[in-house]
Amino acid sequence: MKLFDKTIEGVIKYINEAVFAEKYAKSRGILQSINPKIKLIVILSFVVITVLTKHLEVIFGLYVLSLIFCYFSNVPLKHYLKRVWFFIPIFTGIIALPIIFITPGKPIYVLLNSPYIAITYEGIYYATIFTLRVATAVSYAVLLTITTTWNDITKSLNKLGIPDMVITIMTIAYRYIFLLMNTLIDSMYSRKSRLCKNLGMKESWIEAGKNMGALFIKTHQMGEDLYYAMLSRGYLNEPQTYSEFHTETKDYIFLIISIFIMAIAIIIDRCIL
Amino acid sequence: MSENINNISNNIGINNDNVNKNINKEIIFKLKNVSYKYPDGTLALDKINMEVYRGEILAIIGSNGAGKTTLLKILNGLEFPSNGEVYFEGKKLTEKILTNKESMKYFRSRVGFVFQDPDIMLFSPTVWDDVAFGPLHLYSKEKAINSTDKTLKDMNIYKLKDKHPYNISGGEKKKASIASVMSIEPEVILMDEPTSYLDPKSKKYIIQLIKKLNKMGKTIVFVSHDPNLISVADMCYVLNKKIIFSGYPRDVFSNVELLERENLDVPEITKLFKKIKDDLGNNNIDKIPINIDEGYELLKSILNNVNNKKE
Repeated sequence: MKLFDKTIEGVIKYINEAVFAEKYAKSRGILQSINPKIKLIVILSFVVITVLTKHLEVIFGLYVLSLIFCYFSNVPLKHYLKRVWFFIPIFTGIIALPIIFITPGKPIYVLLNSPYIAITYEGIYYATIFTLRVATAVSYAVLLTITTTWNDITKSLNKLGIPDMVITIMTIAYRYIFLLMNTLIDSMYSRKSRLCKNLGMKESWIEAGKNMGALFIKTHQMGEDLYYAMLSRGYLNEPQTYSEFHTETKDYIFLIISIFIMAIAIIIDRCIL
Repeated sequence: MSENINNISNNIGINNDNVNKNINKEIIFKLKNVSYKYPDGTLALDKINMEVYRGEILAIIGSNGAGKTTLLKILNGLEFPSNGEVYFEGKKLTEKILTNKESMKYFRSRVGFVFQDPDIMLFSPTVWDDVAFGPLHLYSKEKAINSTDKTLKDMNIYKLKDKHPYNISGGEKKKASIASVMSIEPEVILMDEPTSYLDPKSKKYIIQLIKKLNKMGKTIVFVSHDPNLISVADMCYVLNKKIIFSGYPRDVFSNVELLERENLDVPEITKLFKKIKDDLGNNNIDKIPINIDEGYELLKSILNNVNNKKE
């Protein structure tokens, strides 16, 4: 239970800090100064190009570009790398690791002769490409979230045609998931403060089950009250949002330069290499 | 000395709560035999008959589970009575009327509801968006923006406009939740425990705000246990499934049996003057003050009288 408690606590605190800090989104930097709508289009395009790129050199170039963006956006490199590489081993490691052994090709190190298992050159190449591709795509996604407030992201998505209803659901989920997580932490602390012995595995899971049930009831109640709060202020299942972004010359310059870089990446990947 | 201060309170305008106040006797809400049962069959309200007058501050008092919040939800058209009728501005309030877009817009722009938990009311990405939520649904975009900015400035929370509601203090959340209703510019404001979970400074701010809003002509209906807040009301209803008492706050605070039965307290200023009155004899202070303003006026008169005597 201790591990479960610590994990939940750690994850919630990390997410709270990471998502709500908005410290870098409000600092001065190249990406912060760009119209969020343009920034969203450009960064999503970079993610798509990264995913479609075949060659390691091009992916590496795109990754370096994300680091350059990070540097000029006044985001500390250490913080940025930590946020990107925190999830990479978890999500890609499971998939990338077997590729090293099962991809046929030139063997580098033979582990077993019967059955034949060897680390191949091609295996390492594909695993590296896969990991770097995911890391680059995640880097761009993190770059967007770290330099843009959530409000601007949702408003940009709305401007790009995502329906109001979807935006409202996203906003409410974003708002309440953390509130409920904190409720969960509080209930964990309140239980901890009344315990005088460590619970066994079975008891711990029973307690965790009770916590989940209580949280579910609270969520249900909160959902109903929230709907009433919206209804009492004129909501009629037709969300109304307001956003006003002005596109300036610098935004157009950023867009043109980005398109130029993307075109070069595609040409190198598909025609030269 | 005791003769000198005899009935002083009668001469300084605290004799009757409503005497000096210009309350329009026009009924804005009328409830006729309203009963409400929860889905599990538990009776929450039993044959409630009450009226809310335009321009008054009405306090609804009662112990936990007395049905106070349900009553506010019925007044706001969020719940509908199992039996009985609710009238707003003389027209019967029904579910059908509130599903009609135009009627709904009219009603929602006239009646605002401040929920007890500000976290329920603040669901948008920024404080500005939350304050703008109501106006954007009820008015034109231009009016919504102007009203939002004006409300934030009037309530001195303009600096919070870009903050995420998750990242502000409890007092600020309460102010933001009130602002999100104020921006609609409603004529009637329903408030559920407006001073609960607040520090003394924030409580004082909310009480002053309620007084100010009322002076601006707003009708305020609140549910509360806070004696300092109840003391500013023009009228009180004590609720326990049904209305068990109605009268002025002074009547409530002087009804010891009722206070004990309903777990209510009296304001500190009332306790102080009650003690003075008891020590000096029953006739020294005719009306015990129930708020600071009244206490101040009474004390000033007593001191002036003593000084005049000395001269």
